[in-house]
Amino acid sequence: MSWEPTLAHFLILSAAVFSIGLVGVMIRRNAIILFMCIELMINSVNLTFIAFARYRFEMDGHVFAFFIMAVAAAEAAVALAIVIHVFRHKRGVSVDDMQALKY
Amino acid sequence: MNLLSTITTLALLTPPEGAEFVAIVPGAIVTLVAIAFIIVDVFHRQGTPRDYLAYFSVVGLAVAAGSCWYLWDSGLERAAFFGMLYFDQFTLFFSALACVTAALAIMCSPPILQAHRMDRGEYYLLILFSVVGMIFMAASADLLTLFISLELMSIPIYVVAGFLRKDVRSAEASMKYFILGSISAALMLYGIALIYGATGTTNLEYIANNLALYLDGSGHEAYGLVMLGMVLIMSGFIFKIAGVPFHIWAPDVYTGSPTPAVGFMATAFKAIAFAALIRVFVIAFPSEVLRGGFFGLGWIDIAYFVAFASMVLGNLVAVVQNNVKRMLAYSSIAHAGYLMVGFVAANSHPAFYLHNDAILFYLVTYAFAVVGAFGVLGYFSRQGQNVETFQDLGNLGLKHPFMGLCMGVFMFSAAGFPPTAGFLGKFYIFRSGVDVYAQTAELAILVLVVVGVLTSVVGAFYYLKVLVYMYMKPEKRVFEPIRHKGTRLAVAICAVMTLYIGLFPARTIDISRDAVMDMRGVSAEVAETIERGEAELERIRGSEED
Repeated sequence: MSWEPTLAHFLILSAAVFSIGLVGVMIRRNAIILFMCIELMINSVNLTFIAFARYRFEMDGHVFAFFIMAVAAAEAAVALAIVIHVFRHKRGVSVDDMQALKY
Repeated sequence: MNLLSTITTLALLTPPEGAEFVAIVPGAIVTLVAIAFIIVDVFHRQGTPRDYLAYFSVVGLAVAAGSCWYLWDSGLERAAFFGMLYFDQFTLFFSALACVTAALAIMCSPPILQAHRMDRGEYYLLILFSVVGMIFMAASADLLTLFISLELMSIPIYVVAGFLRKDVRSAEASMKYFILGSISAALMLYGIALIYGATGTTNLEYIANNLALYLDGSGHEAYGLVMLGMVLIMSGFIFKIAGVPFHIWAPDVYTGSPTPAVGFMATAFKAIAFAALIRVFVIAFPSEVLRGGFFGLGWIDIAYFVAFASMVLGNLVAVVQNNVKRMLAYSSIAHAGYLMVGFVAANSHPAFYLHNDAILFYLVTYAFAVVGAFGVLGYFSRQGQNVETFQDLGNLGLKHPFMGLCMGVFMFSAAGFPPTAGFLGKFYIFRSGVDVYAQTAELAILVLVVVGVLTSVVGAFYYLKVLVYMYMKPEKRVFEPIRHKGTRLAVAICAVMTLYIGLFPARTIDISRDAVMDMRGVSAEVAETIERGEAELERIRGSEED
């Protein structure tokens, strides 16, 4: 008996990846890991788009996924620049060090 | 052969005389100014101040705002570029607002950057690109353009927030803003993906059509997907307007960023997010099932919660702040709450759609008051001796009468005292709430208005505290003002506009109403409301002439 993944499998996978990213952003402390978690969230969205687009035999979702990749690349460039900027000041990138602005 | 057929297809699809290209004129002007800016900046002589670059971008933004005024009556009936961009008075209103706030903020900026030894052209360039994103976000007719322009508007501002490189707080503000902004963008994106999955399209009008087929028919198969997607998209907007529960970034970012840029962030972002919020939810999710309406649990009910929580939390926490910029940040959360009251009232039923003009009017009044207030704070800022706490404001009003007077106007406007514009803004917002209560007898909306009025009394306390310190307390530290003509001019323009709109509001109200009435692609019920409103207006104008 051959087994084929269906739309539901892809949606469950992407929801799981998205949740891992979201939980990771909340509990991790290193800024680089935070950005990786955000990337995880964005890529799970890509997977959702592609799964729906395949399911419907349409191209819209594929196009959207390409745009998301381009925007995510731009975001990553800015993200790394900001991390370096913060590192120069604090000699570390843990969000626990971000104490200059409080209350 | 294949190429030939492609070209003929494209030629057939292109409208005659390139009529659609008018839709990108304001955005294209700002883009061209930004590109010209890069070229001019390359030839800048090192070591000389860059003030003229600031004025160059101000002139460019003024031209773009002028083009909005010039094109006011040449809107397009249908969404341009294959259903990607609307070009109507709603778009033009918000494009002009974004250009004007950006121009005023840029006029205040050069001395701040010079004081922090960061006199770089990139600052103005990033703001210009952010304005391009704003213009297209207000125009977007498709969730794809919405997402791209949202990112185009946000990413440059993450950099601007961290622009004062030698200041550790600026770096921290930028980091916090970036992380939280990206999370909210990812949430919104997931919402868009789910909506796409449920309806098979990202075009706002097609979403509405497909939802009407699903939800009014027997099968509710995609209902859960649509609900979840809608909530996620809403949360993205709530982040951008700094509404509770996604407000936590605002105080830190406002405190750390360059002061004039904060004025731009606080006003233009809020305005454009409200433009897209109104556009998306009125056009794409008009169905009664999704709307809910006061605890039927739909998008109005989320907005209801946000309005309530933002007003209460923003105002109460602002009272205990000792840093002026943090106080203004919490008060901007409160303003998001007042605006949300207008949104709830105007969109709880399609028959009240025209009340959205109160939101547009409020955004104009709010923009001038807040950009001006941050301009005044920037006027007393130098490296190592910024105006930070209330004590620092001591006696500044008497020593610098002009700035003190303008700050008084802005604070009275933000607190909602007549005869300033802020009073009328609040009045129209709350009046639309009371009007909806009078017609529906829904107690929930009245509760919201009462909470709004009570919390604005609390708001008056902390706004007047600024003036008390400026005029009645002794000075603790001596602040040398920067004596910059551009700042003084921008602050004066803001003060004059605040008073002008407060005393002669008719024209601004007319423009807001026209903008709301001219929104394209709305559902049949909303279109009917607009038609009724137009007939009413015709009747009033007719009777005035007689």
